[in-house]
Amino acid sequence: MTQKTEQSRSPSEPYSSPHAQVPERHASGPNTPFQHPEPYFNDKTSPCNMGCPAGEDIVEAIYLTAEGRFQEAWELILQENPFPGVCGRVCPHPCESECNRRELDGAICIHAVERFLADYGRSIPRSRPKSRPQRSKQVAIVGSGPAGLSCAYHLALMGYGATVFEALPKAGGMLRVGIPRYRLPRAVLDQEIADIRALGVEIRTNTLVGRDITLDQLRGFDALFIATGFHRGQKMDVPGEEARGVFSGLEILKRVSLGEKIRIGEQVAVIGGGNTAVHVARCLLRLGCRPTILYRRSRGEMTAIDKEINGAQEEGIEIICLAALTQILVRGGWAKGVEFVKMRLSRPDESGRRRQVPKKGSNFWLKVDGVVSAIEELADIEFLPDDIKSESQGILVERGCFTSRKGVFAGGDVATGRATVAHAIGSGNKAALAIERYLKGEDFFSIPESLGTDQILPRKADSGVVRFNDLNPVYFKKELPVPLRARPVKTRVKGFKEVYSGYKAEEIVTEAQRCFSCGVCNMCDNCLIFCPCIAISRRRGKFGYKIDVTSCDGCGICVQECPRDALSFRKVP
Amino acid sequence: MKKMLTEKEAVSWGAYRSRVQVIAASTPEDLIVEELATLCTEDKRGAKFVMVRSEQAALAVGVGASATGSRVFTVASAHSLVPMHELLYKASLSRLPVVVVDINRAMVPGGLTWTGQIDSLAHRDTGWFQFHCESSQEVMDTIIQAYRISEQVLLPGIVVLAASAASHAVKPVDIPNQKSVDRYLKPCRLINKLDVNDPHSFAVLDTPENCYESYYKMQKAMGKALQVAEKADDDYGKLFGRGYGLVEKYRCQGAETILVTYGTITGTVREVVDQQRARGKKVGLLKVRLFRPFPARLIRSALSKARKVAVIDGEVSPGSGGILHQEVTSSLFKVKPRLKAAVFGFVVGLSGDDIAPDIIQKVVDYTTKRQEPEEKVIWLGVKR
Amino acid sequence: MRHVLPRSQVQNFKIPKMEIMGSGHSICPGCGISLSLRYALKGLGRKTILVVPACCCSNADGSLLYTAANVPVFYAAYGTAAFAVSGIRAALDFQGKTDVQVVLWAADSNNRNFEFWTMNGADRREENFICVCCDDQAAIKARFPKSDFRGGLVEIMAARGISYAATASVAYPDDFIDKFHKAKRINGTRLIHIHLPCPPLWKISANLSIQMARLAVQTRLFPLYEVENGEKYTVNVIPDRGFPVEEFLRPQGRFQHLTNMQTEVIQKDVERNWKSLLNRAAE
Ligand SMILES: Cc1cc2nc3c(=O)[nH]c(=O)nc-3n(C[C@H](O)[C@H](O)[C@H](O)COP(=O)(O)OP(=O)(O)OC[C@H]3O[C@@H](n4cnc5c(N)ncnc54)[C@H](O)[C@@H]3O)c2cc1C
Ligand code: SF4
Ligand code: SF4
Ligand code: SF4
Repeated sequence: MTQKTEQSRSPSEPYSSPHAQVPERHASGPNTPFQHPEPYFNDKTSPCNMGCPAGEDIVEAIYLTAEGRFQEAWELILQENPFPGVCGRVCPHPCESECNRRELDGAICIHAVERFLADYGRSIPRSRPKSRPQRSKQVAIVGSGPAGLSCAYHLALMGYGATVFEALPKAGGMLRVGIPRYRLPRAVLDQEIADIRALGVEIRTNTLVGRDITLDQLRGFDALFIATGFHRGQKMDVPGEEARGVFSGLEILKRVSLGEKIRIGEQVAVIGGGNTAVHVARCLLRLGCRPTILYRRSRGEMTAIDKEINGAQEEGIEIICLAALTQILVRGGWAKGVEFVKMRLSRPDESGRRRQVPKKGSNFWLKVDGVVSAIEELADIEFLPDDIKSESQGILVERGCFTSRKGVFAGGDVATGRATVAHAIGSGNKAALAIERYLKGEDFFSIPESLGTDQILPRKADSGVVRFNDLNPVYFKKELPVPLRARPVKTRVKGFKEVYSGYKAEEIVTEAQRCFSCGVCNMCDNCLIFCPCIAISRRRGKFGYKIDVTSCDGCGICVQECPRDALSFRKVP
Repeated sequence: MKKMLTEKEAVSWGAYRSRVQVIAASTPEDLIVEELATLCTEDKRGAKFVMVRSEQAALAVGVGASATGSRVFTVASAHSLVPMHELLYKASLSRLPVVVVDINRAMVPGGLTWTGQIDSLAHRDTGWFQFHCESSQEVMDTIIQAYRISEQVLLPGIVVLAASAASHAVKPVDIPNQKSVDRYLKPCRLINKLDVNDPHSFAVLDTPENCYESYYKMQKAMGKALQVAEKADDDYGKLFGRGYGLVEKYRCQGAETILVTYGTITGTVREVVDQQRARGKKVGLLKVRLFRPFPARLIRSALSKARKVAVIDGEVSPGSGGILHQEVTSSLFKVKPRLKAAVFGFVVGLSGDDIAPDIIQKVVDYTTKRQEPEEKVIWLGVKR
Repeated sequence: MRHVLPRSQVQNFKIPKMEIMGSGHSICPGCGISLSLRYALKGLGRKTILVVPACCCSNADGSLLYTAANVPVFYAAYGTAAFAVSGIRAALDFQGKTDVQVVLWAADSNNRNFEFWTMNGADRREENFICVCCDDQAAIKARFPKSDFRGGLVEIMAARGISYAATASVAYPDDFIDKFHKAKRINGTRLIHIHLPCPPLWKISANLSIQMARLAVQTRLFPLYEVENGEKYTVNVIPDRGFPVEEFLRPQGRFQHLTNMQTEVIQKDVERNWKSLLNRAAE
């Protein structure tokens, strides 16, 4: 008497009771009959990435740092920038000015991360980016500043031969002879230049193009990149300028940098408001002088990096603004005093600008032992033939780096105007990309304008920049950035030791973990956690997630709850 | 093993021998459950008792337990199937083998005392099979059979015993031994149940087309239940020497008039038939034991030779007529071979009014005197 | 694989990866039911049987023929869920499956009233189950909602001394899952009162439902707390700053009729409740 129940039928048979159901995942097909917008993972551009002139992938590097993957992060930066150690120290970090975190509690200390990574990179066995197979084409580069060297670096990585011609006895441009050691220790610079050399880049120092070798002699090269920077001091056009004891600011920096002796009195007037003026003053202070900076415009108009101006003031350097030099008092051939007239701001003119006008009878004298002319430098490009068009501000370029002569490119300060190291690097990168395409036979017009994005590695991110409003702020709580750590004034003015010190690995990881990762998914799982349709799942063994659009009902929670706007909605056609 | 048992005790023994696992009851059935509890405790079976405060709740408990794969026993008394109504559908549409014993009473205003069958008859359309029993012995045997049928066709079943004046009377009942019952009734094994290792949904909100299909399948299962019930009764007869048949033909051999009835009225009718036969009258009795699924084929063949059929109903469907009468006529109507018999429909002893042999005698008299019934519903013994 | 999250990301949810519930249910877009079910199952594990009375949740489990919950689900008739729970519990106990949890899963607050009495009885029977009430606050849609915001359910059951009573919100998945995990390890009648965002009822767009659920907690309208044995109160989430209730009320279409004065009354009420909750927790 067996009891065969109706329930013992095999599951494949047509069902008898629909109420006892076969469980099945994802079985029911489209969830809703109507069409709804569909979410998709869509990384966007973070403001920091957008803000970096050297084109570094900051979000990704910070992400790797936060994970403690320092070497990977360092190598990632090296993909774009051969000078992380330099930039981490000297760059005025426009990336941080863009950082979304400013709106909450202070930008991420991106430069600190960069600096840490570079220092970390120097401390481990070298592993260099692999260059592509050698190619026969050769490129000549004039000027070994950051623009010239980063162009050479990328060309070398691409497999081209690169030869750099440098007028000075040492490579590095302004990094070498402009930026003082207390801001950029030479060991850092030497190491990074050595790394570039190690890729096969040849640097011929003491070779002034136009004197030691003519531009025509470089015709044997398949392409030419000019990045000679701004190196010619300007005349101040005041009586007494020719006296002894009057120096060019750049000259002083050069000599200090190259370790030469300078003889200058105790009281020094430094004329100018740019980086040169500030650094000259701070260098002189360190050499035992008592410098005063005199600038004809207002404090806000000083072109020097703000942090550096503040540093100078901390160190006790007096800055007198709105004071224009009228003459230098010469006694016995030596400069002994300077006369100034106070300036005031005029009423706004039609364009709304307020100019400086001299205040009548406000003249004053300073007794000095020396005067430094540190007003802005100019481009020294007399060696250029006429067919490479230029003007007093530098070489004229189109699309960022093409000069008027085929096969000749220009970058850095001399082409873009006075800027920063990072801009020079970005400009060098861009030139390398353009030169590569030129060498492959593409002509000017086939090279897309978008080449100007300063990036070597192609990015898949959406070009839309994620702003603070696009983030979901509820997911972030306040947490202050790591403080800058400067050497105390008392000790630091006694020598050329670096002013700012680095950070410990834990500090840097903590700082990197503050990053919102704007616009770039970091697998925080929020979308997956909050999807009511369980339509989002991790990709096995890979980064990221997939969305099962048939299960999704288009509620939009994932897009809403993503803290960093890494998801977007799109209409389904 | 013979024992002197009240009807309620017989129910307890039936459930006990069926090895019920979860017993759900609301407080009024205390006697049955108490006895069952005593029995289960005595042999340490550890059945689970859930006592709740309403019948609806009791069946809800039962349905839940059954869906979990346990053999469930529930008692409903004093027309308590009525509050269970919605749950009856839940059980049948979920195809759960729940067995309910219904100690039936009449639906009357303000009281629960009188005997009747309307409680279960009113639920004939819920997809539950229904046995109407005549005696304590039959109730006990039918409970055991009901579990077997229920678990084979996956339909819930009601075993009805109209509460009679004698329901507290003690009668001898032959209790089959456990070993034989175990041979007859295998443990309940559901393929689809609430099982965490094999998750299913039960009784989900469904599309009309699926629900339509479920009703169709239920109808099919009812068809199957007829055969299964027949076999179950046969096997029971072979094992224990007691079979009842789905319908019982009592002295129908050569009968010209056959009285058709069900439940506890049968006892009285049986007496009257005996008296008639003793007088040489050709009167027989057809007892309908299984009311759902309705054994139409068996009834047709039992009535094929009769000239007159008198259906004696204890309950009426107001506006139509005796409930059994409807069922019997519809199973005879327009089905070949056509019967020539005239069918009389009597309503007697409704709402617990006493059904004495003389009322049944009146049925016989009325039927023999007339060729055809004068009215569709013939009310006997009613105060007009 | 990336796996480091911003430290500053407030909710670094630590929730079990195991996904029991599958996709394919037929809940309205943005409704919190499926999320609740999903989180609950993460806390409870596979050894769970759900009992669902007729309510919004009747199709939470799947579109008709299919089950998305991936645990057994029993749909109980009106007002009988707690009894079905008892039946299932009895059967499981008989079968020796004492490690299987039976969970009464009632959604929408109409049901909260309807099933409440049945739960009451279950508690009298000292039934061993978890009762979940997904509360979409349907009752307060049209009227002036002052007192309706009070989460009375937990209070009533706590007053009866049940072993565990807690509130939970889909915007706080880790707390949510923790509570189910905790409830699972306790015996007796347990209650979890879930605050459930319902976009059509609240008249908000679907993508905002988590946000609104979060605001309910942050404005302290729906505090997240638990009561053990009717005595030990713990407030699980203390919002950083007191968001005004406005922030929760304003975006919702259903509260557009509230006047400033009414909002103020609600605010006061909320503050009073919050204070008394903190007092009870401090005792
Ligand atoms: C004092 C000072 C401080 C600064 N501090 C900062 C700072 O802190 N952060 C920052 O971001 N930027 C700073 N800048 C600006 C920054 O240094 C420049 O923008 C950047 O170096 C420009 O790079 P470049 O490659 O275009 O030119 P340069 O760095 O100027 O390099 C040009 C090189 O070409 C060589 N050269 C020129 N003519 C010839 C020729 N005919 N033949 C061969 N070689 C030639 C020069 O000797 C020089 O080495 C500072 C600038 C100055 C002057
Ligand atoms: S928070 Fe991070 S990703 Fe966003 S801008 Fe700042 S550094 Fe870039
Ligand atoms: S949360 Fe889920 S269901 Fe909603 S839109 Fe995103 S993927 Fe679709
Ligand atoms: S919510 Fe988190 S995991 Fe999802 S897309 Fe945004 S960042 Fe990535």
